[in-house]
Amino acid sequence: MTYDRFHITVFILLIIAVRPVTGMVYGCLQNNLPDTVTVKVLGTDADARFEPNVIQVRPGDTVRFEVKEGMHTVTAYHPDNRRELGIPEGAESFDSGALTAGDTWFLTITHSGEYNYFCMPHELMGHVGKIISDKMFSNDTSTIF
Amino acid sequence: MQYLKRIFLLLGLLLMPLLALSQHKMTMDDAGLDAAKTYHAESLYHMNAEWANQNGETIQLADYLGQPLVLVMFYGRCTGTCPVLIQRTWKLYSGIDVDIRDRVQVLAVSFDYKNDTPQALKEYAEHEQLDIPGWNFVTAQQSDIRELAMLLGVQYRERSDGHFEHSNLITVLDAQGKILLRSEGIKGGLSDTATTIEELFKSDLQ
Repeated sequence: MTYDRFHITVFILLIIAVRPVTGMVYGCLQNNLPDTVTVKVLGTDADARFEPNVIQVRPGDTVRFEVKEGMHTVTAYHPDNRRELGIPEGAESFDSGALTAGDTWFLTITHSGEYNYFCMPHELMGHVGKIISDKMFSNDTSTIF
Repeated sequence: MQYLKRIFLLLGLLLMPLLALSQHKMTMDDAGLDAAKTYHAESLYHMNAEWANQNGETIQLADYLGQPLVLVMFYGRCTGTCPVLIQRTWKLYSGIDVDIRDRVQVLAVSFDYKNDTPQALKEYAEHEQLDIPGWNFVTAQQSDIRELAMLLGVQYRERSDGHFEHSNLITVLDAQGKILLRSEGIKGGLSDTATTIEELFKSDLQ
């Protein structure tokens, strides 16, 4: 079976025409997949900090906390932790417990809204962070202020 | 006359066992009364030290005689493990069955006799939202704090910058003041410990 020049040209044109569509579909699918965003936990005393300290995610995304130095916690502003509610109503409270250099701790975001959290040892020094969760955010914006 | 002497002797012999029995009973009753007031040889409740809590009230460990006690040593300005240790104590407390939780006493003893005044402890307790019934944050003379730490097996030393290096330990005393349980460190779950404590508390409170 042989193909003439016309058929080959049509075939190539079809591939060229379809490619952006498949790219868009793939892009949309990828955009809807849960993402993992990393927050570094740095410093020891007065310089203790979450970096970045404000992030944007979508419900279903996971935040990965990597402790680089010192001893810290990732603790929700929630009555379970004897603080006023600072996470979306209905979202589960969280407290990582003590994390030291080299530890990694994961938090899966389930609700839309603001998740405010703090580090127990350094809260009074301003060691706090915020996760803003909204299903309208795209992957491209899911990091970082 | 000789006859009367024999009767008295006979009566004496008959009454002696009764006297001995009543004496024995009195002794046992006295012992029973004292038992509630005396301490077990290993009890920490025998300490005479006076502790000042966040409300400026004076507390003695003997005040807890007859009830179990959760004891933790910390200091208020700690930017290391103490906040986590207090949080663990809270988790332990809040993990205890709600029916008996109100009867559980917690004593948080500060190492920092210089800075943790009753007023500072009040501010600390309020910030931690632990200025609640059953929770006492206390300070005392340096020698008393050191003595309690030795009895509990808590090690600490003051650094030149005013902060402390210390063990991280939560201790549970039974109703007699004996050490029943020690939870060391700041990592790991506490649910098993809470269950064990719950059972101990229930049996002690029965």
